[in-house]
Amino acid sequence: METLFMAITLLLDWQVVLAILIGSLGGVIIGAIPGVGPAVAIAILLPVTFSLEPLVGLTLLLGIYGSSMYGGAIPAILINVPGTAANALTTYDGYALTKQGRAPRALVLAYSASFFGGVVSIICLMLLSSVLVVVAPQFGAREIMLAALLGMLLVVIAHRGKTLLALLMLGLGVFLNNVGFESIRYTHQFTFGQTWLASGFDLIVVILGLFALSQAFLLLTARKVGRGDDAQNPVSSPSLVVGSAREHFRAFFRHRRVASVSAGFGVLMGMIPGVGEFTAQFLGYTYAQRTSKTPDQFGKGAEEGLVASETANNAVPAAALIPLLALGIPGEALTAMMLSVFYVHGVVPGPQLFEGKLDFILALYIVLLLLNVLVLVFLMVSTRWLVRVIDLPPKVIGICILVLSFVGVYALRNSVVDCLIAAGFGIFGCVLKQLNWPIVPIILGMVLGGILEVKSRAALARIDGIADLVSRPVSLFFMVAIVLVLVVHFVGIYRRRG
Amino acid sequence: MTKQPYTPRVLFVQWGRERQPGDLVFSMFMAGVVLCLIVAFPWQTVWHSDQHFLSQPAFWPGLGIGLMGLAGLGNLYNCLRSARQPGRRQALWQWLRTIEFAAWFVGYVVIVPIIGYLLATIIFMLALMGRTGFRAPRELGMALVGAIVIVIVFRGFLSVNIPSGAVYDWLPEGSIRLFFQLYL
Repeated sequence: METLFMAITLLLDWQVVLAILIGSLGGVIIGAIPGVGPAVAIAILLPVTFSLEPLVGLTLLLGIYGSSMYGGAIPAILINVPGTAANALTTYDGYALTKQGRAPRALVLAYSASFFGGVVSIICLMLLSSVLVVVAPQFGAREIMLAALLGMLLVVIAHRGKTLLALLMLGLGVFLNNVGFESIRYTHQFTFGQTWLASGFDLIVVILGLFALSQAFLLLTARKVGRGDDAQNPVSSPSLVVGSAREHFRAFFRHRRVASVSAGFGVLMGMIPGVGEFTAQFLGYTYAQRTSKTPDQFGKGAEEGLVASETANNAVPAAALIPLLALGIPGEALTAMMLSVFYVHGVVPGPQLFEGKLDFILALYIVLLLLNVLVLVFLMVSTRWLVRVIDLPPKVIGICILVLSFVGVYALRNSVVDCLIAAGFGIFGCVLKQLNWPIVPIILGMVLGGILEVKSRAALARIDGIADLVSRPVSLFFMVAIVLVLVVHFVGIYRRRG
Repeated sequence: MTKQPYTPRVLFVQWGRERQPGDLVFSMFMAGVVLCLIVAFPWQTVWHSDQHFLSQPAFWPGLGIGLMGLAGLGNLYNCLRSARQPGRRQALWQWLRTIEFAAWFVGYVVIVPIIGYLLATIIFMLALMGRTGFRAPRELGMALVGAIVIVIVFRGFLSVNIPSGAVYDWLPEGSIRLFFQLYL
């Protein structure tokens, strides 16, 4: 009880309140602008959060992460353009509902489903993190090393049909993490005698280049970027979000079975490093379709399809925090960015965090709940005005991203070299995006590669052979998981080819 | 973006490996990069005989290059086997076009410490708006307001670490110069 009181005291700081407001509302707006997305916004804001208190910084980033998917549903439903990649499946039934003149119902269903997914995910975060905390003291160097290895493996395997490319990019991430001064024998590696390479590649600079600058270049060089079906654009309707919201909410509760299962998929997929919203969405959607009485309506405006998609993708963000907070293992690029906020402030996620700063953890949970409530209220009130934001021309969005990226890169250490490196990674990321090559494995390669390197050195000093490596229950669990993942993957390939 | 509806089938196809225009060129470029790194490996890393291989400084970059090499070769092989997509030249031109905007960005970075964040941002936004075809007075006016708001928010309000412009030293000594140096 005393810890809860301390957590509430932390939240009463005006900076935290402001961060909740800016994060949640800003996230909705960012999510509603096609082509920007939470990764770009978080990459830009990341250096700004370094000067803030950890809770303030994390609240801001979590707000953007969690609420962008709420916002992303708006253009997905109204103009058939997903605001974020995670809302792609929402267009399938959401836009079909809009074409039937049921846009208000589709929007309220999407908001309700997102809220439900978000809250279920937060409850799981509260319950499962504490379970992991009980297990956490058994996590030594070898266990974290194996967890990082499993994470890297899943990152590659999760890129179905692109595993070779994901492996290539993961290798690049591991390599980039090792350029510059190494701390074992104090030598330079792959600097080619260049002093500017001695400090290596900063993770933030690489993230800004690959996510933010590449997106700006992509938007600025696009020959023709439209807004979808302009002729049928229902955004122009001033009475867009009218009708009985209560009735639409009630309609959502008729789909509670689909919503619950989809939220379960979201939580599970969010917890597994490298899997994320796409897999969760597809599992939820496929389940909804297979168990529906009217499966032929899917893609033609099935409410269950919309509910499954939005619940699953919104259940992922809070679940992705479970391995981050309990073990210090980021599941994907956005949580990897958040991990850097922890590190900058000397806060190390993991068992020690739960033992020493439980008030901080509780405050984070409450923040997540508040964010979801705030976003829901905000959306119910403001959607009719918010939809105007998506009218911004893509090239103007590109210019804004460039100007904002400058703040992110240059403010780090006022280095022109950092900006040149970021511009280089921007061009590289732009080409990768045009070719549809995965980018996220580069970031996870840098982060997980670093963890793997440090922990393997620490573990090696204490173990004596492979048998000793798996002699503890948690390390045995991870080793079995690694072997199982590999077996299932290769059996899957064999069956598909057979 | 596209008039084609997003169906699960379309998304599954997007997940799969489809050769894009320019894919082979970029795959060859990546293979070339890996080859250069392999050649440079012996003289860019250190190997000590008295240490376990996992503790060798060279092991981890070596692992990265190894993964890149293995996957890069496999990818190149897949690329060569799959059907060629037309539009390689357009794809290359598209990549080259990004260099122009990267140069704009670098130019912006270079002029900020000289003419100051406010002036540089205004010039950058107006010039890029003009370059991308938004030349109407209303559009340029919006860009001007946007630039000023961004500067006020980040430098004035959030005190983001951006150096003041050298030109501010020419301002009369006193509160005006200090104001410009601290907030704009």
